[in-house]
Amino acid sequence: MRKLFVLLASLTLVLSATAFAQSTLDQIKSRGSLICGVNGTGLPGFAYVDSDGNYQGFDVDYCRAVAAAVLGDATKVTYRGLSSGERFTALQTGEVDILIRNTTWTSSRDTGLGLNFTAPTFYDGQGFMVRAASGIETLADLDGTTICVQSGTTTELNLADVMNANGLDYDAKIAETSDPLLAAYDDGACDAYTTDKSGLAAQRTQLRDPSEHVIMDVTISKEPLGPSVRHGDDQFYDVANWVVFTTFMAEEMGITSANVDEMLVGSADSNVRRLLGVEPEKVEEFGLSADAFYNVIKQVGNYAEIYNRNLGPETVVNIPRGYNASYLNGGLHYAPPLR
Amino acid sequence: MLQPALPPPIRETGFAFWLKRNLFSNWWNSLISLASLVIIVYTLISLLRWMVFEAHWEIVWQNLRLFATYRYPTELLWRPMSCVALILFLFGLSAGVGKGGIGQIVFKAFYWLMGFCLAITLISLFLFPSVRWLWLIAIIAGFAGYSLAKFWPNVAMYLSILWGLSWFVCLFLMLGFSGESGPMQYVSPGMWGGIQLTFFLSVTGIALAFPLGIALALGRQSKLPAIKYFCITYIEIIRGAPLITWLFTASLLLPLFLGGIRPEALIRAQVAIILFAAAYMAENVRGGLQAIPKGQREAAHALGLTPWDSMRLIVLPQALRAVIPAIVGLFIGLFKDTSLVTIVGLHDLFAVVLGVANQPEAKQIPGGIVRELFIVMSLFYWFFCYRMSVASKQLEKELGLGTR
Amino acid sequence: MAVKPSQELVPWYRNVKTIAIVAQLVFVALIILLVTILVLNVMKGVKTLGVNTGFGFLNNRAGFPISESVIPYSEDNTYVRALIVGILNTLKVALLGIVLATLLGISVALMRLSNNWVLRQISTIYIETVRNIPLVVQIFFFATVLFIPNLPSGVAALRLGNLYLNNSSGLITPWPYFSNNFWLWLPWLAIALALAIAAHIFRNRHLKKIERPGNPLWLSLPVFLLVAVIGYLIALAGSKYPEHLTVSADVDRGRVFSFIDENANGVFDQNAEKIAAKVPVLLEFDELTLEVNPQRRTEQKANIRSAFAFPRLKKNEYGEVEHQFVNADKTSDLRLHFFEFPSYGVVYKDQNGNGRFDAGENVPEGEDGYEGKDYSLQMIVKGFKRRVVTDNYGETRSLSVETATEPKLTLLGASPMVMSYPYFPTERTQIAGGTIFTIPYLALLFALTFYTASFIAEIVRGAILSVAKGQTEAAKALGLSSGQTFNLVVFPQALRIITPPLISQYLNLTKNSSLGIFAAYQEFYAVSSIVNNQSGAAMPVFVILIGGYMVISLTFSFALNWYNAKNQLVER
Repeated sequence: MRKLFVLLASLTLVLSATAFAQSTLDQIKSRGSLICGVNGTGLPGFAYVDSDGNYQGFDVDYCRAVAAAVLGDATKVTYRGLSSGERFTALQTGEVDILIRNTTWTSSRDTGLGLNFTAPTFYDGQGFMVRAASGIETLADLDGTTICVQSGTTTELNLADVMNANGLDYDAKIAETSDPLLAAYDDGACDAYTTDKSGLAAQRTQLRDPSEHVIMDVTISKEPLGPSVRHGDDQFYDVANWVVFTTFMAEEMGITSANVDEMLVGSADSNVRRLLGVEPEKVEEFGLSADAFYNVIKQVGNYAEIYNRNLGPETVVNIPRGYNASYLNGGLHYAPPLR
Repeated sequence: MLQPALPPPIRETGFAFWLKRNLFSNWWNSLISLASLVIIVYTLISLLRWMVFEAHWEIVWQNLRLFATYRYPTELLWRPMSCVALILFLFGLSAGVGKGGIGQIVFKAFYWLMGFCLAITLISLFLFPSVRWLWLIAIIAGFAGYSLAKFWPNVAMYLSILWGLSWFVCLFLMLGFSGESGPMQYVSPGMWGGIQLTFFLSVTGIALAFPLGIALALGRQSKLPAIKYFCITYIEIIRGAPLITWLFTASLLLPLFLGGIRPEALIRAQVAIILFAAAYMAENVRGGLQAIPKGQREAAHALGLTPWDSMRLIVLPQALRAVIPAIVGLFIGLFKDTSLVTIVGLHDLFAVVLGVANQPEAKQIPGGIVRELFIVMSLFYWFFCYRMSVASKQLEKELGLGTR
Repeated sequence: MAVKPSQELVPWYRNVKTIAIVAQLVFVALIILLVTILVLNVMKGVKTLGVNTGFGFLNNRAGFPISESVIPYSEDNTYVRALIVGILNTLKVALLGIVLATLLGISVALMRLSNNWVLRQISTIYIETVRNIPLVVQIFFFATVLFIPNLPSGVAALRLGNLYLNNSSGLITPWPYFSNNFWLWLPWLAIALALAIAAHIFRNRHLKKIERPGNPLWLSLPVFLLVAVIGYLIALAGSKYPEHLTVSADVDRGRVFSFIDENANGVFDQNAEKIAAKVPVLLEFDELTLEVNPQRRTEQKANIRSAFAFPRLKKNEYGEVEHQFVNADKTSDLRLHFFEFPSYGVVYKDQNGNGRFDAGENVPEGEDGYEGKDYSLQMIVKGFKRRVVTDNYGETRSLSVETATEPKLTLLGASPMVMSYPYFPTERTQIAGGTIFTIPYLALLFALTFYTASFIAEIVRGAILSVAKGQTEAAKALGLSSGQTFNLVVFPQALRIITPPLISQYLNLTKNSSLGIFAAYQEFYAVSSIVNNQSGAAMPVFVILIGGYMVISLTFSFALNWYNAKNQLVER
């Protein structure tokens, strides 16, 4: 029995990262890798393990972006697949440095659970899927249709609210779980199917012919998803937040992973020069090296690249940008100025 | 005048008689037999048709690596494969030296394990060039062990030490040194998974629960009330709540109990499994201890053995021998229960299967690929559990238990 | 000289008794040390991690829905109530699972011992397959592989008489509910029970005295049934519609307003709307201000469910169904019109035209439950007022309901128990009425039953085989038929061998129900896990979780062991 304890104790010491004392940023640097909490059993488009054993997805790319900024190498990420039950505890106890696991930003998570959310990376929200041939494009087109909606969720109430507020009439077809409902939609029992957009995207791929169906560019509820870090470590919170902003800014400025090297030498725009660290002091104020944000863009890409790679029209998931467009194109993503 | 010949006696052997006795002894038996046969045949045919024409096996093939070792780096696969080779080698040795009934049982277990590995080897020969040689080597190691034992039967003396050592060697091989690169680089347990993790968790669980369980069983029999009641409390509390709650506890509270030190998720789950299995092990061992007649102890006392020696040399060996089948049963249970570690974010076979079902490629198939995955996963669990339960039953027979 | 030899011979440090005491002290000291270290660590962790350790959070609003519940529950209830709902859900699946697993287990054991080769093979294959595959995998099989993709959805449900089965709701069966007249029957039940117990004791003593074998149940059970049935008939004769009904609506949840009764029948809330009884209802109001915003369908929907089937509904000249509501002091009346709304059922409007919907179909006439007294369950909506609040955008937003009393609704009827039958309110909605066994529940129940039954079958088979062959032969020699031999000689003996391992299987089944989380069945573990996730109070949740399972296990264990001890052979 004593042997067992000695063994456990030594294993514990060998394998655990210690100390709350150090700042998160220093911990990551001294460890040489970022521990990123992601979805353990997978969410298509956001995080999953491909057949080669590599994590892929939108959330995963943000893990890589943070690693690129802090360590200069997007591959230096240790992924920790988390179940939904343990995700917050894992962040609180310091088991992960950052949690990027399709987590909605809500006030109670901010206050009660001691999390700090960065700017949302994905504005999820309830959307609609319809047949491309039906010609339904706007909310008003849904007047007089039958809509498949999951009962017992806020989804159903949101639908009733928004339809009533707009004076639209509809019939609801309801079920407890999503699978039978999706089947009913596929069988033509409903004109539209509604749930969270990320879910719509994943479920569309299970229809008989996904290409016949489109996700409408309408969002009727708020589900802002984004990375979260521990309360109280403002330095790392700033870093995470500005890594997200960097991807927005790069898209706003037209910097991509392909042309970032040209921009580095060729651009006279002082905004670009500050972002890429040609004028290093603004980036260094974060406690990062001057090329931190350059690395993010070079190794991971700007927001549009990340989005298109994982959720864009070329992918199986294929969610229209909607609110997730840059503010320049009428979306919600907007980076404060770096100055 | 010739007497008419007597009719021949009713045949009590042969296919027709067997049919009559077992299937058509009376009208309702015949009805049941026919109805069941029709249902069985219909089910089998539709299952076969689905398996051959409709199922999407390609995604299962593509992800075999994840099922086996999850995210373990491809270039380092030789390390877990060396463990497989080592275990097959030791199993070969054990099968080779075994004598008598128990030897037979070990040989059969070895035979089936080799069969399983051979099947994998054949698959990898065609589909997975990166590991085909590794599997061949593992198979050869198994045969080598078996042959070696035939030439050198004295190896039996060292077997238990070798098995004990092999656990450390395997842990070392799979974990590696700390380091970034090189053939022996550190591979965090976070990268382990699939069948590898299923085996690791259950084997380590039973191995470490064994001494702990014996200690608890002895403690429960102790005449010292403090120790006795501590052991009883421990055993009953652990057995009172399901494993999943202990995994939850270990996952969320262990860091708190250790003052903020955060062991790897694997260690937390493993600790929970060991402590859980120990309580059940203790009850099994207690059963064995109670089965030893009091006379044994009295005889030992009369021979001048101290209570400690009589326990160590007389009672425990007999008791443990008697509970081997129960321990195998416990191991089967543990092997199945490791699938619960999904709940604490580990990726055993079950979790990997859930993850594969969420790959975009899998989502492109109407209805997903849950049936295919379910069949593969069930077959794996079934094969190992079934072989072990057969071995357990044979052991029970061999050790003269369960018969009156 | 005066020193006792024992003290002389054995120094204190080798005295067995001293060693024992010292060893225990050392052991206790070590345990205390360990516990202290752990507690100190926890306290340190509480400081650094800000982990919640008090139990105070339990009275906070839970804020999460639970998909099925034996007692009324909404996310506005407290964490305590959520946890109780979890425990009840655990018991709900465990108790039925134990019964079914026992029946299936015994049947399979008998199949395996039968002389039919096919049955023997089927049972053997079943046992060897099911017990060698992890339970989680089997739960996954029933929920994800078998039920959801293969059952029809919604109104396409499979139907067998009054039983419906689909993959959106689950299995829907008729279900009896208590009515307000139940108390008339209750004393009869008590008398029946008392008489039965008395009869049982008397018969037992008598049997002992005359030294005859026999089971006192054969007297006590008929006594109970007879008295209970007579009592029911008397209670039925005395049953009447009540003067006052104690129903009120649920208070404002921002959007939905709901009726809840203690059986969770007639509930409308966003999590449990499926449980709507097919029972005529009379609504009476102290005061009712109906300010239903015609645009807000949600509220109407809430009303619809509760106002679902009123007694003696009749159609007015416009073809609308109409019923008169009477307020409690009967000073004024309020007329409400009903018509059926395609997706939701009946919608009402008051005489001022508030709450009116344009689209609608007529309530089918003469269908069960819309007419006649037999199904009468009644409720009163007592003194509530609905208030329309105008929001910042000038739109009428959240409607609140003010109630004079705590919202509560008792189901009432003109018989002690009322049967609720499942039916489709309209062509396109979900099934209402009866009670529902959801798909997650069924998946868990099936998996637990099949899995545990495979172990029980082996226990039973082993026990039957262990009854000495001489017993069977002796019974045959006495001229007993093979059925009699089994029932009177073999099985009673096997039962004594079966009981102890069976108890441990029952406990296993109960503990294994914690895997319901894999079928999305929200039992005790699943609820605790959500509570922890919401509140961040890992430590208290751990204590409650382990404590809860300990209590369940120990209760089961005591009850079953008491039974076992009572039935063991007294060896003489």
